[in-house]
Amino acid sequence: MLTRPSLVFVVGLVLRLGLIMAIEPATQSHWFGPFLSALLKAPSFDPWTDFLASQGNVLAYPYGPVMLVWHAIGGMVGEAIGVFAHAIGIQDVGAIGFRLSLFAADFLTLIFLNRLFPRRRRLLEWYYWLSPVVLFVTYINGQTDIIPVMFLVLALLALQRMNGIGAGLALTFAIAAKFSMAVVVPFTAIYLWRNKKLRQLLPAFGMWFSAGIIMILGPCFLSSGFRVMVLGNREVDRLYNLSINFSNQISIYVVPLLYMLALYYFWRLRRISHALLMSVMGGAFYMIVLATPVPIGWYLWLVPFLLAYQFASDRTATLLVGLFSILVVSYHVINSSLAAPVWSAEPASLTNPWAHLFLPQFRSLWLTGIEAVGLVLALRSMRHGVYRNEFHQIGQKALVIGIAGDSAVGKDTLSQSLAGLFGDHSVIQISGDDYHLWERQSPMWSVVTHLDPRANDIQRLEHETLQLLRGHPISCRPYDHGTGRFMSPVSQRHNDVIILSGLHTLYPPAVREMLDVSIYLDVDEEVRTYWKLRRDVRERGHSPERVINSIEKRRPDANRFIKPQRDLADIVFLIRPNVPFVATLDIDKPLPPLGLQIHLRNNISHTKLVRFLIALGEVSVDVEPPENLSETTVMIEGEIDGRDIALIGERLLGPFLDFLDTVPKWQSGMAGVMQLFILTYLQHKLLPRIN
Amino acid sequence: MTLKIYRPERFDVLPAAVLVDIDNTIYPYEPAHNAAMKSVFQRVSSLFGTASDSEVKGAFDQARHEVKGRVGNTAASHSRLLYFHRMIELMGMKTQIVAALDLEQVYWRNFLKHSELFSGCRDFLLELRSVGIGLAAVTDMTSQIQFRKLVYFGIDESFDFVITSEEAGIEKPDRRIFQLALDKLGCSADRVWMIGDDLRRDIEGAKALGMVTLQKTHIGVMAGKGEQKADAAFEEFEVLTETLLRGSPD
Repeated sequence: MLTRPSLVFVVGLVLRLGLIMAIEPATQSHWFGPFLSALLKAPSFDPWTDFLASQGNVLAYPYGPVMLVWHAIGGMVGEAIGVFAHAIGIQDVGAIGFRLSLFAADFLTLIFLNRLFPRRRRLLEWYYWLSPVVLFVTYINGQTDIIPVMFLVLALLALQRMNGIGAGLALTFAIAAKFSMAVVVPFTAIYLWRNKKLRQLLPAFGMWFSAGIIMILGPCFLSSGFRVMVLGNREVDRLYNLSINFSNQISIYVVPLLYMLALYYFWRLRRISHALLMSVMGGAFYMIVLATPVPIGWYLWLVPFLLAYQFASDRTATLLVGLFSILVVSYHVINSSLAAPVWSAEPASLTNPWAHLFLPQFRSLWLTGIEAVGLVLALRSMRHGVYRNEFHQIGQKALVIGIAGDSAVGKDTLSQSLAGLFGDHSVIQISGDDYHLWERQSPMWSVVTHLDPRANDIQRLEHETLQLLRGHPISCRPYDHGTGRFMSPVSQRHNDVIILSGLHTLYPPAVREMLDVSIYLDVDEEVRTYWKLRRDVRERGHSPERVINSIEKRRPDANRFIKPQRDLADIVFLIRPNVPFVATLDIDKPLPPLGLQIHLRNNISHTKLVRFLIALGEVSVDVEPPENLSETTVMIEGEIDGRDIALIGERLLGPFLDFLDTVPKWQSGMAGVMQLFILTYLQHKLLPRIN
Repeated sequence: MTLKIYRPERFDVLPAAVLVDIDNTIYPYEPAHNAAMKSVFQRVSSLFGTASDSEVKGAFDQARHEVKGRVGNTAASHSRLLYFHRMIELMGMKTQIVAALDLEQVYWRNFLKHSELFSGCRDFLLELRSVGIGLAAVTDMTSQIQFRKLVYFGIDESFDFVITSEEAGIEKPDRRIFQLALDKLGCSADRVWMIGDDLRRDIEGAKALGMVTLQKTHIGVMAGKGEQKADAAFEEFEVLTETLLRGSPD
């Protein structure tokens, strides 16, 4: 949405345009400028080789084709301006085009950052648009890193929007602009692989990325000039500067070592959200920048990550980043090449005019200061970004949801509807039926019912749940309801969410202890009888009397073994008719509208959810406050659309939504209401765990 | 941070109560409305087939025009249900009850999904609470949807009173709706601030009773000129909190 430009923005804009028009950085006069004007004079598909052939400086242009195209467009705009300026009597302004191309990338970066950090517009203008690092690196030292940084931000944005193709292409462009951007690729690949809901993006990402690299960089490798100027670029050697001498002529390189450890650490995070990706990738950049004598351009790469940290943290963060920026810029003001006014006859020198005024010790001390503040920043942003990250803290352990209840109350339906929220790729569903001891034909069933815990291998259920929680696979023996036999065993791997549903889920204390939320699902007896009658008479051809008989036969066991679990559950759902209803043998009689009665334990806060249900879902909700802090009863009647459930869920859950699938499957009606209550419970129970 | 105070003497003392308009004052109306209409167009094309967006939009504009003309200055003149109901008729499909209800729901669901309070607005309302200044919303719209918006924004508890044109029986700038707010709050007009975006409805209406007026301006809002001007105009709520509530207005 367009709004009036703010004062801060205008100040930043004026500063930039002023610098572009007034000064020419030495890097541009000596290196990039000559290379580009050679290219524009004699356009070529292999400017690197041609430039070297004409005795050009090998250091002039260590950049890839994307940077070249970007700059060339700027150069052409510059030439057009030059011709125009010449006509009105102003000489030599063509070089401005190069700087305008940097400005374009700078401005686009601001726009992309604005999307990446929504609703931070005002702070972005302060932190980015007025950042001394951005201004110094791009407009005074004249480095062109803003172009790969722009593509990096674009790639992060595409990842945030779950666009695999976009992320692949943006990274290709970043690397084809500046080769060293390749350091982010392994992080991106791990992120997409380890986050199960994003795994589906990996093929698209990989395909477009590799196709892009082959198409854009492939031909360049054939150019000898490109190999010398870009791949043989001395910046790469700096990665090996810091090393530990191991033995005669053999050293251990510190930066590659740390980089590999960072990759392993990232892999170990198990479940990774976008915020975690930003934190750890930022950490890797800190490491490279702090452990190598990189040129100042690399500090620009830190900027998106510094911003993420500033937005997530407090005022101290802003102060530290400010201090860091000032230290870095002031260090380079006395160490790096600067710029000269465009009207001066001599271009600026590639050596710093003041460097000789300062003793090496003084400069070392200054650099040590930068390292100190930088390390504090890196540690703080890791602590904030990773250890205080809610997703990280909760995500370390699988979520375990337990559902208990009598047969034919809809346990499997509820389990399936929860799996739809988290996404099937992230969920393992364990059915209690798989733990029956005997097959249907067994004579044992004439003496005990399924409802008797002795008819079920409860111990194995306990053991296997624990195995899953520890991350080990289990071997399951699924029960086939059609044949009443066990099928051949299948191996089930652990997953981010474990849903246990069955007759006795809450029965063994050891299983109860493992549950993050325990649910008891109940249906009004009359309604359950009605459902069972309809199903067994219509679909299975039983006589109504026989059905009633079997219900009666199981009743004592249900009361003895199943119903008591009700008191052990965190949430009890009871589906009941809104008006009094008695089941009769007449199965054609219509069922009255059903409502949902919910009992909530542990005083989980439900007020916000209830308000949203009333206001946005337009259902009738009746809340009975708890007596003795024990149990709140909520009664809900009415129709509610799945899209309203989704609207409420999105509004209610905030950061907890990261745990759900890319497009969670919200249900309509009371199934959707159950989804909301369970997620609210989980959110409130898990968030306080965070310290 | 822009706050323009045209009549500083009116801000010498803090108000006893603040009246605030809802639509386009506490949240930007256009983006929410546009997103909602987009979903409505999609739904119309899935319900009735081929009609193009511009045809549907034409029918919608025509329907709104007719409804407003017929029911005059009442809350019903904003009823999306009536607009869609008439829109479907204009598209040659007679009355389609379920479709009209459905479109209304699609509209409001997507409207809410895309509405976001202006930054600093929540804090401003909380600050009023904490310094003991009464707060009421005065809005031209049906109560049902306005209540839903306030719950959705999570600010419903901040208001002492909500006055809709539906309950007042007349819309702003008629003095009766402002009078109803004053009666509910039990305040005299000169001790009350009225905050709104619309020069005619909010500012002129409140001025007629002698209230202190503040115009919320942003892109798309016509700023007052000369005599029309409110006593103050501002772009961000933060500056209201900082300058008028916490600091001295000088």
